[in-house]
Amino acid sequence: MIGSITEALSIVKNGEQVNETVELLSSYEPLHFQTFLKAHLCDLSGGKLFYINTYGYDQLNRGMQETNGNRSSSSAVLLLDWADLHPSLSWRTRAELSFVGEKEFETESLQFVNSVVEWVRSRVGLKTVLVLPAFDWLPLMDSNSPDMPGNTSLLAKRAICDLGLRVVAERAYVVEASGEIDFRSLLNAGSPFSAQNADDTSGKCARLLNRVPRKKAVIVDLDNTLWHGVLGEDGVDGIQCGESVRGRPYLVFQKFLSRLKREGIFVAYASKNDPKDVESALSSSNTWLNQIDFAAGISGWNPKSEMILSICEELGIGLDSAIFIDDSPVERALVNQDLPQVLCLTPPADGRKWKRFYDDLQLAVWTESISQEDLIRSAPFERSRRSTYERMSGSSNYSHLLGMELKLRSQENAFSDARSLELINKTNQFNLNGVRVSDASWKEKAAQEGSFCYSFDLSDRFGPYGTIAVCTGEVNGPDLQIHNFVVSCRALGRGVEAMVLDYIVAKLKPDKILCNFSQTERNEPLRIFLESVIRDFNSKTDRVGEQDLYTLEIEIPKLRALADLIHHEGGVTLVDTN
Amino acid sequence: MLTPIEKLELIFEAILPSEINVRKRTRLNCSVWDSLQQLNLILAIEQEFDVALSDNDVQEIESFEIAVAILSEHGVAI
Repeated sequence: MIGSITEALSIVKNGEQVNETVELLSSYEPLHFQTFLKAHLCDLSGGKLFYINTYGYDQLNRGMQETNGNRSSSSAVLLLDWADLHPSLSWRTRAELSFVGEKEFETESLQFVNSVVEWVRSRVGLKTVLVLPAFDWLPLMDSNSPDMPGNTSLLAKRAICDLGLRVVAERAYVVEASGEIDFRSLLNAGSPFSAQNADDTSGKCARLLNRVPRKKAVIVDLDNTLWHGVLGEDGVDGIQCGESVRGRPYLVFQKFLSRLKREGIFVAYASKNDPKDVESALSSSNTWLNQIDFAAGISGWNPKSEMILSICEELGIGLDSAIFIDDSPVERALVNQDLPQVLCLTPPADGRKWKRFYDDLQLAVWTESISQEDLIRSAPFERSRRSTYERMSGSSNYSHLLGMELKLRSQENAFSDARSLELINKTNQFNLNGVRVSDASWKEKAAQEGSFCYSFDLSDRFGPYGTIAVCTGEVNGPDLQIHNFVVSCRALGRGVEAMVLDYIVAKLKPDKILCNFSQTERNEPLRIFLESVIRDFNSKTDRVGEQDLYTLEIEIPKLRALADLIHHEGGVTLVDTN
Repeated sequence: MLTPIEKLELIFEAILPSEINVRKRTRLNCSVWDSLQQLNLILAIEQEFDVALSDNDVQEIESFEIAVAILSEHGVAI
């Protein structure tokens, strides 16, 4: 929450205007919703001021026509009102305050619902948020008691819920508007939002439009965080995580962590305890989670920030992908100070306050869809896979990979696979230039003549990895220009990068391969790989936004020789599934 | 920390932008001051100063000066 309109206006005043538009559609004047949406977006994007385009009173249809996916590439928020379903559901109706017959209502509302679903469908690949009207905003159209909904309101609610379900199926976001109505603003401008509701609801929309990457790991303290009690003092039998007033919130917390683990989040612990005590606690029947449920865990007497660093290193994730949960304010403050990238959360001491904590946690780990890769990441075999490869690291050739049975599978025209764009936008270490691609420019890229997008799945003797590499670019006569090239950090050190580029060369047979390289803070592994296959680093420089882009030429014979070596020494194979 | 008068100025500047000095701004000399901006202005004032303006107040606020006077009537030390 921003808190007040003045605060929102101050944020907007200090923002930097960017050339990006968010369409805000409604059949009424959105008043302060517009200001708050602008402020929330500005806040979340680090000071970017988006242009918010509105369409004016009673102009919802025009707005939908102009923001149809064929004509617009901007994100859109549609504020729904009950009266959009049928004019009789308006406090401002020009007719009597009464309800039309059920038949008429159903016919008209279905027509409107269909038009919204069509609009959302036309915007596939673009971010679209639908804000459902709050139930409290429904006018009193029949003679029922305010304590009991009448048929009218039940029918209207059913129509709105159906719309929500159909729109979610089209991969748009659905938000519920906050409740309380501002009656004066509704009567004068048609907007039912009070300032507080506008702040709250626009905040939800902004978070969906400007999503930060999903966190990948939850690292928890143990005493009074994962269970109630102090292991060193209370002993294994004294800690509580079960059917007691004190233990129940911790039991639910452990079940929640177990659910996150099933959804692909690493769960790990960092605890100041004797490792032997921790081991016996986590193998006792006193806790819901067992040692095997943790992707990593460190106990001892080192500072927590050191433990977190080691855990992130072991899991192969960046510090900005980690959440740290500890009941001790001192530990949280120290981690905040040493590792500011880590998100620190506080477990409530009072069982009544846990819901808010779950909301914060869920917001950080939420994903639209749980991919196969997410599930694999937390699979039981993943820990032994990691330790096996760790033991091999440092080898100077590829023969150590021989027994791993590494097998790549290619997918041609992978533009339509949502995982391709996701991987490009979330990979840091092995990323050609760190350029993030918006949904709209991805769509444009896919439609462009000569463009290509290959993605690659990997498996080894432990099981699948899912999609681990994506390469996009375009064919310009005899030249091949690579725009994006990423390999998941989980697949680094397996020779994958050379194998997939070699496959693309064999497939498209270019005379020359050029790539748009940019050095970022974190793509050192990519730069080291490039050094082994490019002609030189001193080629011409472009500047795109704030990034220096180097056009580098990859030497095809060097690349082919490297891929041959990886294939023969390491036994890495690539299967063409197209 | 803004004083009450500075807060009111910020609200006027953001909702009713004009080249006229903010303290001299009126409905007549400010071209963007229409009925919708009037509502935006009222909502912002009510929320910022935690006051509930009556429908009469809403009608009467037609200049920065009047806004100051009405806020004073509502006990805001402005």
